[in-house]
Amino acid sequence: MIKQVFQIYYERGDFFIKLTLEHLKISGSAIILGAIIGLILGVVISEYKKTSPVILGMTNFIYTIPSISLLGLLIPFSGIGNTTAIIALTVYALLPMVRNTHAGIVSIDPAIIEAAKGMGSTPFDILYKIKLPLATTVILAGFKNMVVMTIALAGIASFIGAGGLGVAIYRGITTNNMVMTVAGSLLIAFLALFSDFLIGGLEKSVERKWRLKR
Amino acid sequence: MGNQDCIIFENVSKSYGENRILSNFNLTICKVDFLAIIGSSGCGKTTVLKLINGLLTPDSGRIFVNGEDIAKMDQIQLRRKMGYVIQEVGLFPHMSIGKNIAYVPNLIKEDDKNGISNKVKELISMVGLDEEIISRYPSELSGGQRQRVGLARALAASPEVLLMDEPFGAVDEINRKLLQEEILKIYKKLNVMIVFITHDIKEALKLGTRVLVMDKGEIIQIGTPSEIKQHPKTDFVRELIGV
Repeated sequence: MIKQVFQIYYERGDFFIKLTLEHLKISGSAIILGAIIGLILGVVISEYKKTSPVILGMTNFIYTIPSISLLGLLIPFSGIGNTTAIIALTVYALLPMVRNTHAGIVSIDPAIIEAAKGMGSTPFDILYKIKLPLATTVILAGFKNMVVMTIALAGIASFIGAGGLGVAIYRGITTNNMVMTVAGSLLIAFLALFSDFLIGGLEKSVERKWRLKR
Repeated sequence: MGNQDCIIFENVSKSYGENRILSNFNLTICKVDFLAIIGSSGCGKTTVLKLINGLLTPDSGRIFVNGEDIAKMDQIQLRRKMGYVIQEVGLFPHMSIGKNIAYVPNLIKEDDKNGISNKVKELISMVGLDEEIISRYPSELSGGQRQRVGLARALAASPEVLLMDEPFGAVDEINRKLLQEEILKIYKKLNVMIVFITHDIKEALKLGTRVLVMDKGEIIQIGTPSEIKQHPKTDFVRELIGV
């Protein structure tokens, strides 16, 4: 089996490289969008506490919609293809980002915030110089989960006509070609593990730089 | 209205919900006063302090600093002119000691890097610490050292007023004595106004040039330490000083 998988990588190298790049493009776009929007929403709900039940409730709710039905629900609005996949993946990426940004900020020792405020920091100074750096490790942990999840989830995007490694899996299933399915799945797993490793390393170096050992 | 170099409370009231902390509170603190405010917890002494730097706003009444109503002042600028030290210190764990002390000078950016770094060294020695501590981080320091760094940080913007909220409440007895000596030295050297909150009467009488005894949001007695000791006004004060 393993041998056959490597053989298919070798024989159909171009096909898999194209799919991998597509996969990275789709999940990468969703990761960037999800990270930016999620971070902003997370900051908003920690700064304006009243908005937190609404925004957390909504992101939680979206998270519970099965991915396949969310993709289906989006088709009437954004059609089939990569756009719909990126929208759906971005929406899923929000929850871990929002939740961790919020948790990271609210868990900061209130005495630190009070000292910063009492010394004449503007709310922006406090956010930028104190809150975000101190919340970084928690935010990065959420980011890591989100990246792994998005890369894995992007595999089903081919069901609505988007590209990516899901194409190989789907084709393998429909043509009863087990080797093809395994080859696609292995690449997705490898991408996810590799990103997990990279972000984990980043987390450690930030932790060391800012002495954020918990 | 108002004198220069003074902080004046004029009929200030403040409540938290139903709970009235201060009602019609009047107080004048002038430059070179070292005012020690003493009272039991919940008597409103921290509220008084936080009203001065605008962390709390009065429900009614006005507070003047240097003759200006602070409600009409830029709160950020107001706080930058006042040093603020709290019991928990609140050092920024992700910044080195040097960066912690230079926090406010870096915010106002009125000095260049060299100027700031010289100032940090000067402050470090003023609070009785060694220069090698500058590159270390808060987690590597003892409680007493942290409080000294907190003090240095509060002095970094050359404040006219130093607000201290039970600053030595969480350090051990020996370090507290040393820190008390240190703050007296700094007070004499820099000629700043200090408002110092404590629940330790011995500390209040030792440090303050004036001592304010508070209970349930009211001023019970205000005077020099010897006045308080010789003529305690009420039973509450007598009990407090233990005669």
